[in-house]
Amino acid sequence: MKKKIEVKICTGTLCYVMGGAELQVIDEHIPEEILEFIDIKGAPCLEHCNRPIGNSKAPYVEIDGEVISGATVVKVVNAIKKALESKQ
Amino acid sequence: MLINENLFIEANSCQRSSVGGKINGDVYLQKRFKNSIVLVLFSGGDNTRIHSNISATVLSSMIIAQFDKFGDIRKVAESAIGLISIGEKNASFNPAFTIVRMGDDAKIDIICYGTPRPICLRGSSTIWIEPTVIEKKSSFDSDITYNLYQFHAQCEDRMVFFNNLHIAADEVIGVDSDDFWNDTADIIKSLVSQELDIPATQLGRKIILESYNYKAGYKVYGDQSCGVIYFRKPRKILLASGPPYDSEKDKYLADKIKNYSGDVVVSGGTTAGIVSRELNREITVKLGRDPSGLPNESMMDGISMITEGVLTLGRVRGLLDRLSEPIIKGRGIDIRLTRLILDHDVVEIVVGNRINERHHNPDIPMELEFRKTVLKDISEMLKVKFFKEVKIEQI
Repeated sequence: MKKKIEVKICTGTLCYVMGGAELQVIDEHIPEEILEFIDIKGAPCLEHCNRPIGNSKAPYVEIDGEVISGATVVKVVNAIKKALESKQ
Repeated sequence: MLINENLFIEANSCQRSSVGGKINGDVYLQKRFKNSIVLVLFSGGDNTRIHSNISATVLSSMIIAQFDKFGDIRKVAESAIGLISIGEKNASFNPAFTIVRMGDDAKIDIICYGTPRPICLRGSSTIWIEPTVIEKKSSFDSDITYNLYQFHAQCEDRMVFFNNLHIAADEVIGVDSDDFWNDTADIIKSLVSQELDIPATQLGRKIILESYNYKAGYKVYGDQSCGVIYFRKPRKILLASGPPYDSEKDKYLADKIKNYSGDVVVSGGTTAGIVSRELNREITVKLGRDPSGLPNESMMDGISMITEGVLTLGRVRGLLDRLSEPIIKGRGIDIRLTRLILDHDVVEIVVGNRINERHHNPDIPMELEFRKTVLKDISEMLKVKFFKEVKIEQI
C-alpha cells in the first residue's frame, strides 16, 4: 500500500484569523479520486509564526513536512496534486 | 463560597407565584462579603403582590446594605423587624423573612422572623435545630420576637428554608404541624436520594413542584419560595492559557496540569503543544466547522478540553457578560467552555505571559486582544457575578 501524503493544517489563532478557517474543511475542496491518498490532520499550532522564515506569513500548512506559507485552499490543493505527481 | 479545600457552599432559591399570579411578592437576595455570605428570603406580606415585591426588595436590600456596614446579623435583623413593626400597625402588612449568614468557619446563623424553621439534612437524617427565641425592645420601642438557629455545617449537609406559605398550607390542610414538617423533610430526603449530588437550584425547583402535589386538591394561595444551601466538596477547574514567559517554566506548567486534582482546560495552540511535548501525550485536532465559527477543539489524555486561545476566551467573556444566571444552553465550543467553567466552584487560571509579536501586527483583526486582559475580565465576572473562587497565577 502506498504511503499517504501527510497534510497538516495549523489551527492556531494567527493562522485562523489570517484566512485559515476555510483550510479546516479542505477535504471538501479536494477531488474525491485523490482523497484516499491523503492523510489530513489538524495541528494546534505548527509554530511557524513563532519562527518565521523570510517573508513567510500565516496561515501555514505542511505537506509531507514542506511548509506552505500564506496558504489558501487553491494553493494547498495544487501543492497536494504536485506532491502526488512527484510520488508516482 | 469556598470554606476550605474540602468544603464549598452552594446556595440558591426557587420561587413560584400563587395561582393566577404573575408577580411574586417574595424576594431572594444573596451577597458575598469578605468572610461570609448573607442571604435573605423576604416575603413582602402586603395585600397586593406589587406592594409586597416593592417592600420585600427595599427591606432585603436594606438588610444586605446594613450587614455590609455593621457586620452583625442580629443587629441588622432587629433593625429590620423594628422598621416592620411600625408598618404592621396596618393590618394588611404582614411581612416575614429568613436571613442566613454563612461564615468562612462553616458556622451558620439563621434568623427566622415569621418564617418556619429550617430543615437540615445530614446524610439520611434530619437535624431539627432548636431555636433560641429572642425577645426584646426594638429601637423603635416596639416588642420584637424572632428565632435564632445556629449550627456548624459539614460536607454533604443541606439546609432548606421557606417563606411563610407552608404555615398557611398547614392551616389549609389541617395537618398537625410536626407531621407536616416531618413529611416535608421526608419528601426532600427522597428527592436527594434520587440524585445524590443534586445542585441547590434544582432541589429548590423540585421541592416547590412537590409542594404543589402535596395532598390532593391542594391549591397554592400565596407565593412560594424555597431557599436551598448545599455544603459540598468544591469542584475545581484549571484553565491554562498562554506559553510561559520563560521557556524554563514549560515543565512547571506541564507538571501543574499533570498533577491537578480537577478538570483541566488548555486554551491556546502553542500552550497545548508545550503540554503535549512535556508530557509526551499526543494531541488530536478536530477539523471541520464548529457552530461557533471558532477553531474546533483538540483532544489529549487527561485534559477535559483543548481550545484555541484568545478568540475563544474573548467569546467566553462575552457570554459571561450577557448571562444573568449560571446556566447556558446551546452548541459551539465557546458555549461548551463557558458551561464547563460555570459548572465548577474554584477556577484556577494560569496565564502564560510570552507574547507572539505577530499577534500585534497592524494587519491582524482587532478581535485579537491581549490574553491577559481577557482573562482578567473573565476572572472578575466569575468572582463578582457568579460567586466563583478564582485564583490567577502568571508565569
